[in-house]
Amino acid sequence: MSKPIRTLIFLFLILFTFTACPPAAKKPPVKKPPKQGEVREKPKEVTRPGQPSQVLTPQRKASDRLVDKGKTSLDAKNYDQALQLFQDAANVDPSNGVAYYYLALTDHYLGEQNTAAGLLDKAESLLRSDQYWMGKVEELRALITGEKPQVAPLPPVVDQY
Amino acid sequence: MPIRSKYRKEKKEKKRGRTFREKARLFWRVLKIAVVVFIIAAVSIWYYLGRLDKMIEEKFDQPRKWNLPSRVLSDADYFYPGVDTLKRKLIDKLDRLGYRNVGTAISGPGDYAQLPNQIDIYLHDFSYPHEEFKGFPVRLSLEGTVITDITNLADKESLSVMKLEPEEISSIFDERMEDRTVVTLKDVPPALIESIVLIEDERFFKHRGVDPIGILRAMGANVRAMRIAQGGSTLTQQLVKNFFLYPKKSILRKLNEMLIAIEIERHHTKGEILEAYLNEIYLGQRGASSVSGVAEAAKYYFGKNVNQLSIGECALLAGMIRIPNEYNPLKHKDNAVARRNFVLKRLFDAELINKDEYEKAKVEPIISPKPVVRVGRAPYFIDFVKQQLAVLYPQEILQSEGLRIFTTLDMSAQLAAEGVVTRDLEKLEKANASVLPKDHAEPLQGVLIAMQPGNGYLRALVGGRSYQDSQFNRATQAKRQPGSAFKPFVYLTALDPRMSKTSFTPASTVDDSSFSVESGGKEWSPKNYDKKEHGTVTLRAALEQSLNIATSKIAIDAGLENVVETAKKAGISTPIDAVPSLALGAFEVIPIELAAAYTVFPNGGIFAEPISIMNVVTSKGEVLENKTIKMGRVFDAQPVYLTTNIMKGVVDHGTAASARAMGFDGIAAGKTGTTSNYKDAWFVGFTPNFLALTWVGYDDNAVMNMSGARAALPMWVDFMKEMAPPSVQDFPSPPDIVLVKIDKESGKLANSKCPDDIEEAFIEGTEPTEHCDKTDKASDVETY
Repeated sequence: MSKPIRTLIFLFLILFTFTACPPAAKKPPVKKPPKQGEVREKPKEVTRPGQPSQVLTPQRKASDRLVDKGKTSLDAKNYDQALQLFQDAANVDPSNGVAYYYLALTDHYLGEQNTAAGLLDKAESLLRSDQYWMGKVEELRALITGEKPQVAPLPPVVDQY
Repeated sequence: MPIRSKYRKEKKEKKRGRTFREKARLFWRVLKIAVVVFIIAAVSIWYYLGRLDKMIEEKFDQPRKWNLPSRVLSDADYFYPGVDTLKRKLIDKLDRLGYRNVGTAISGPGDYAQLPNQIDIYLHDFSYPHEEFKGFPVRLSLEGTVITDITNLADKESLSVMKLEPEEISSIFDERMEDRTVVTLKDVPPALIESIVLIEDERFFKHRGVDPIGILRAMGANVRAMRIAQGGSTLTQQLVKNFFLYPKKSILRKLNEMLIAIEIERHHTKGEILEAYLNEIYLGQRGASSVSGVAEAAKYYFGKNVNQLSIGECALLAGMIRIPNEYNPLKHKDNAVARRNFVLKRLFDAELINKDEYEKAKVEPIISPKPVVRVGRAPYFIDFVKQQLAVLYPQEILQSEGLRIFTTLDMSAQLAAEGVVTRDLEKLEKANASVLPKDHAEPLQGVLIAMQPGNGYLRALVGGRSYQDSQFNRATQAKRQPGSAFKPFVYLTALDPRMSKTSFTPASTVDDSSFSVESGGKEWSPKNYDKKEHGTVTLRAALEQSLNIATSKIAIDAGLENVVETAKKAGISTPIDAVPSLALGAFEVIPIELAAAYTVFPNGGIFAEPISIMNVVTSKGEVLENKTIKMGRVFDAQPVYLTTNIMKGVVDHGTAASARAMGFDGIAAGKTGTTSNYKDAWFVGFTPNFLALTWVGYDDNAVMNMSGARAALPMWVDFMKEMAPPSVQDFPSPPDIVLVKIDKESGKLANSKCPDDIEEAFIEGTEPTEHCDKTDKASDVETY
């Protein structure tokens, strides 16, 4: 083995030895006992309020049934009947954000953009914890505010709740 | 010889001595007079008949012959598993809707049967503004009184929801007050037509309006009976009497009746006349209005559409025409059974029904719905609706076109509200007789308004203690000072960083110590309800305890003009001056506007336009008005959430804490209101889905010496306990809201020195950073 090669191997081993070694563990800070009379501040405890439950109660189920019927009317472009059914759905369960979403969508189709925006706000306040529906809310908001100047797609026949 | 005899003798001699010429002259003179009389009579009759013809043409030859009252309807009601039928008073509702309790087995529309652990209902057909609903039988399976399952009995399919049709609250009549549902001949069962023709005018298809044979037969029967046992009027004559003339008997009326009947028969077919008769005929009285026509009578007496009547019911209805009130099955069942059986026997004898039908119909029980008199239902709400309708339609249209007005009223809530206002005001007067003014001329008055914040629906409205005594609608017309019930709008302004001149959080502190400020050239100095000063308090404490001094300071710091702006944005239309006393509600509001303004709190800053009329539909089903939910954001969600969160504290341990002691459970928020000198007492409270406002006071602004918590809150609690099940779901929180434990008194971050802490809501980034630094609780110092 020539000298340069031996030198290279030696250097490689030296480098490998240093880089492969684990770093020395840091010493945990030593907890000093408080002095007599000293007050230890508790860290600020921050929590967030719970969101409205979207559990499928019988009330929600009844409301969802009306939403389904409304969607059928919406697909058939029977907007007045769809509005009535979505309103009934929101009446049966006022915390059903999906009912407000479809009300907003129907009003959007009818060109009532201000009303649609108000209803969408209401939908958003109730659907905040649901990623899927928040996505739909944002999509519709973009259409209502005209950020995406395109024709609104017809609502999907099957939606997740 | 007496002079008279002499004169007669001379006259005879003179007559005998008349020449032929004289006789001819006399004859011609008489003839001329007779011709003139004849011509005059002929012209008069011709003219009179022409007038009758014109009258017939004007009134009878129209496609719409009757003035149809408009009907005001409540909202439809939904039932689903989990609903307590007892609390929702389902059976009362079915009775009000005219369903008939048939005992065990339902067989047709309008029947219901209440059995252990189940209620079977055969739903009515109903025409909604955008839907024709076809009734079907359903079974509500119950556990106790709670619905566990709903099954469509026709196809055994399980249903998640059942819709019960709206209730008729009121009708808008013309001066004749006739309640009528118009039907065509093809809607009327043959058994009813045959029964009526047989009993009332057997020769209807043979005569031409007047029936001399019938008259002679009636005369013979009357002479034999030595009383008026039979009438000789034909169906056409009866129609003419009811439709064109007046009920009072006279020879002239009889003559007119005959002439018009003949004229009508000349121009109209028997079918047209019969159809008009079936719709016109008087069949009894419901309160102040009459039951006119067979279709309305079928609904009233049997809870059915006319095409659903059995042979026995047809026979009874036909038999009732003679004396409707005597044979009324709701009042005189025995008379009704006897009359029905008499008509059935006639039908059988005339071979219009067979033996089986006769025997079956004879023993059929007469089942009627519970009699319901609609007069006086939700009168203040109806007045409010009529006011709005008057803007849209002239009165004559409302009285004649048979419009159907669909409203948002929840009839169960309305009845509960009416009961609560009456009962609680009586209780209040008895329990507080010592503080109320002695011998006050007018009684205490009350208002109760219930709304659904999520859609703005007006669900109940009581505008006074007794509509009979006072029609003044205090809910929609009175202007009263809101007092402390206005304070939440001050706090909403202060907590909104985009509106307030000074930054506030619920933990900000304010000095509740007396101060003076110049207002309108005078010194103004607010005082607390308890006449004390409370030193440094948090915003939360100031609202929970309704402290006037602290609130006034907050309003001034937030900017009085900003508070006015908040009130306007919340929909309060009455003028408000930007003066310091505004913070304490020293201006006037209309109660319904205050209730609507409060909806922004449960709605997270979104204002839902109050709605009471949803649809107006013509008698042909054409939708004239179609109101939909309208809402828009007027406040940022975060400050609204913070204010609502503090108002929860008002109910839990603030000025309205007695609500809990009165047994009101569940999540709720609200605010009491008492005006200076105790002239007005308010409480406006809400759960996430339901809001109610109560007010108590005197019309003449007399002092009643009772606070909002004492006078208005019990009424609110009693109503909410009946109508709003305890809410377990909290108000939805917007993003950027954090909950931090703070010291209740100082508003600083809680720590071991301040164990009396609460979890307070803040807009993220505004929470306190300083820790509580109380030093007088050394024993609580945490050491570790």
